[in-house]
Amino acid sequence: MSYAYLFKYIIIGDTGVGKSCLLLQFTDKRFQPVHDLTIGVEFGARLVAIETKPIKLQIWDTAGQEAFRSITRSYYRGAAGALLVYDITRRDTFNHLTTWLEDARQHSNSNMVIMLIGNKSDLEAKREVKKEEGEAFAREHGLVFMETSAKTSDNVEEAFINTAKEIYEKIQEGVFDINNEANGIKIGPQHSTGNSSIPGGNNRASGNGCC
Amino acid sequence: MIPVLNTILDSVMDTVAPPIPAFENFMYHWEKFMVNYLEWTTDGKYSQFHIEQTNVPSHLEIVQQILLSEDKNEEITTNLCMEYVLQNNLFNILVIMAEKEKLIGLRILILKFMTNIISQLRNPVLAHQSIFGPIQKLINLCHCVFYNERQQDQIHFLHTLCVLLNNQQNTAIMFFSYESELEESESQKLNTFNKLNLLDCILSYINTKDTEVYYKCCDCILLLTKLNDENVMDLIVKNTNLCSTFSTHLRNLFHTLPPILDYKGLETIELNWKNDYNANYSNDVTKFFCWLNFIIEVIRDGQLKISCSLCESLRLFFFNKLFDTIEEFSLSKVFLLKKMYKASNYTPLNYTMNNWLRSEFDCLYYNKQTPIDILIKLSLTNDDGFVFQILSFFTDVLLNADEEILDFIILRFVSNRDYYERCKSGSWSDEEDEREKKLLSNKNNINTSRTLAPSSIDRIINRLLALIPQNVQSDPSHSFKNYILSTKNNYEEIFTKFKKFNWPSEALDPVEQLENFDEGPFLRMIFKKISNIPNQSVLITSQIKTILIFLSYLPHPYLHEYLLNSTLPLKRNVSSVYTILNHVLKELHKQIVTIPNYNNELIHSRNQILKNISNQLVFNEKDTQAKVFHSAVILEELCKELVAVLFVKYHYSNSV
Ligand SMILES: Nc1nc2c(ncn2[C@@H]2O[C@H](COP(=O)(O)OP(=O)(O)OP(=O)(O)O)[C@@H](O)[C@H]2O)c(=O)[nH]1
Ligand SMILES: [Mg+2]
Repeated sequence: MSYAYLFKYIIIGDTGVGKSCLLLQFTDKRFQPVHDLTIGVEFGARLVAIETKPIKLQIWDTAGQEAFRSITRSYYRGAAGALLVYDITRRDTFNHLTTWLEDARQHSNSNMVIMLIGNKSDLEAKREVKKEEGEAFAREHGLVFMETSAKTSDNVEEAFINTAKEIYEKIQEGVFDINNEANGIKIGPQHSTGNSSIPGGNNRASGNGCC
Repeated sequence: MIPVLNTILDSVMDTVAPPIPAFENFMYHWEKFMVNYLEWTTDGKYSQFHIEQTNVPSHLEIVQQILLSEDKNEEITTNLCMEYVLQNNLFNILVIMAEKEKLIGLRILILKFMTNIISQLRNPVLAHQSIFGPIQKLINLCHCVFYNERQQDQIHFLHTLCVLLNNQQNTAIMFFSYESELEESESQKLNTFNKLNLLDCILSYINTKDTEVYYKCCDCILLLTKLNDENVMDLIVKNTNLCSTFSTHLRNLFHTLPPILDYKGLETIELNWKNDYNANYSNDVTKFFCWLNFIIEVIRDGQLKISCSLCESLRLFFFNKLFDTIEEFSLSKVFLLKKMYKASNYTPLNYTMNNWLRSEFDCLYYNKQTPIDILIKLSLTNDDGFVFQILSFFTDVLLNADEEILDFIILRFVSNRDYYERCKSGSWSDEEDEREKKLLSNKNNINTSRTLAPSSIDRIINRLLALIPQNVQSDPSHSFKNYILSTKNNYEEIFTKFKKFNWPSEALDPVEQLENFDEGPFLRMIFKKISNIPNQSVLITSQIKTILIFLSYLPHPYLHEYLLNSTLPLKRNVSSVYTILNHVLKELHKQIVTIPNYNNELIHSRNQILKNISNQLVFNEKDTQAKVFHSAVILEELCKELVAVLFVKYHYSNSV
């Protein structure tokens, strides 16, 4: 399917808060019960529709472990949206938000849309961070806020799509310079341009040779 | 692989719908490549065929071209193909094929493919699992000990990677055994050694017989040790074999050195690993010095943390082990130590060597002695060549101006002023008392240091000059004027160098004086050598002269007055340079005046020595008569130079 725009996202937050699970739930509608530590970066992609326009989300999932922090930093640039995730059952992941936010603000373009996410809302019994605290933090720092569960998929769609809506609105308002790739937005490929300069294009027939 | 296949299909359905030629083309050739490969390796059999006899390489070649050209045109098209590769972990499939190598040559084909990909992509996403995972596996497939035949291709891949890491330093951490835990179990099955980190892999090439490979290997090491990432530095120090490999290799090369070296030839040569090494033709000596040169470069240019741990490892596994057994300090060993010492100048290794020189050995054989202790002892032997080498090493050590070494060898013995006879009421102390009174009354008036003995300076100078009787002076003018300019320059240089040291400015009486004075083993040895001048090689005598003059330059008040102030009242049995010189010169003169025509001989010797100053000194040591004359001339010049130093120091202190 062709798309009108491509938005690049980055998911950040402490290790174990559920970043990779959120991505997996969003792209594959699956839940991964064991913690596969992310090493370096990974990414996933999905097509969504905003106001009937097809939009491709290319989502970079980063490693929360301290040792990979400098790799993570190099992915802020070129992201149009960020999901900043904490775990509502672990207070320390909430306490670290300020550091994450500083990092993000310092290394990203100033228009990047940041969505604050309190994940694991299904674990109400183990909750350590009240929903109101998340809301207050978001209000204070001008972020959009949502509680999600990568396990039950509660609010997961909304989190990604609402972020896309915000970015889309900003484009309509002319805030983003869509021709600058560093903003994490790309215009979709125009209708097939019959690109004959692609190497190998003429070699198709020869592939059948001896085998 | 089933879920992967599913996603492949999904993706294909997703993206193929509106025809995008590049991607279609890509899928076509990728599938062709796979089918081709599977056909050649039917039922998982190992094929007898070489990859070049199949169509496998040509399809892979096109896959590579499409990926690279897509990357180049990314602005107008999209990077769909690459996205597909990453999401479906295609590189990993390739590398698993390379691991199994069921078609001969597949490993190198894929190695080259990946080398091209990572070196030509505008932004290879090294941190992505689908890239670094396969690369890590390829690193395993490049260990020189297990894969020996295609070293050039392998090191080219490793070198490409190192250059990349140097450009994207934050991703370097991926290749220092931060392997993903989930992959570990998987790769354990696939590889015999699953956690070969990049640097260890590169280190496996240091014994290569291919010079080009050697250079690239060294270059890789330099690139990696310069990486500015705290985590990487820590991992290099803790998890790699860098330090132990460096020390062990140096030790192995050291032990293959011949017992006797071409000392004259090697004295001035500085062998350089980049220009002088040849893996096939270099002899053991060249190999050793090139490796030393390389180590020093890593220590000098690498991250300080890595340099320090390298130095520490060299101390433990090289220097300490040098004299581990009953192995003696031989002439060649001292020579090599000296060369290493020189080479280490201005690097942390210099600090390490200085430290080592004054640390006690803890092996039984050398029972609590330091290398310096041992060297001093050995320099009392009669083997002139050996002694010369030791003294020349000592000269370098002293000139290196390490505060602690100087203290250890000399200063700690004189710093308590125990040589000084206090109660004796001589003219000097009267004079000094007088001065002191003046000082107290009018501080600004006289700024000359009391240690320089301003009121006795003329006498001190005259006494030194008078040590050479007129009839045996090889230069009738007997003046130190010629030395003043060079002495002044030297002194200014030395003065600024030593200013930072915490040395006292005046020689003052200590609170508690020891009964007996001990000048310490080093000065004792030097004094012995001065007394021994008539019997020893002229080379040694001139080395002693160099040391003595250097010491006299030092702006250390106690050393200064002890060595140079011949009017200072000394305790009984305390040796002084002046009395020893006096003694030995008398003996020389006695011998000289019995020789007919001795004046001409003296002038002849003088010319010879002056000619030899710049070149290496070459003397006929068998000719005992010539030795007497040469020694006399050297001492004559020594006295004048000492006078020049006294003069310059005195005037310098007045002008500062
Ligand atoms: N109950 C519950 N568990 C969750 C949820 N999201 C994630 N988890 C669990 O939390 C653990 C960590 O999830 P990951 O997604 O791997 O964590 P991460 O943030 O990607 O961690 P790093 O990759 O190390 O940065 C896993 O065991 C998940 O099963 C959730 O919404 N509810
Ligand atoms: Mg993760």
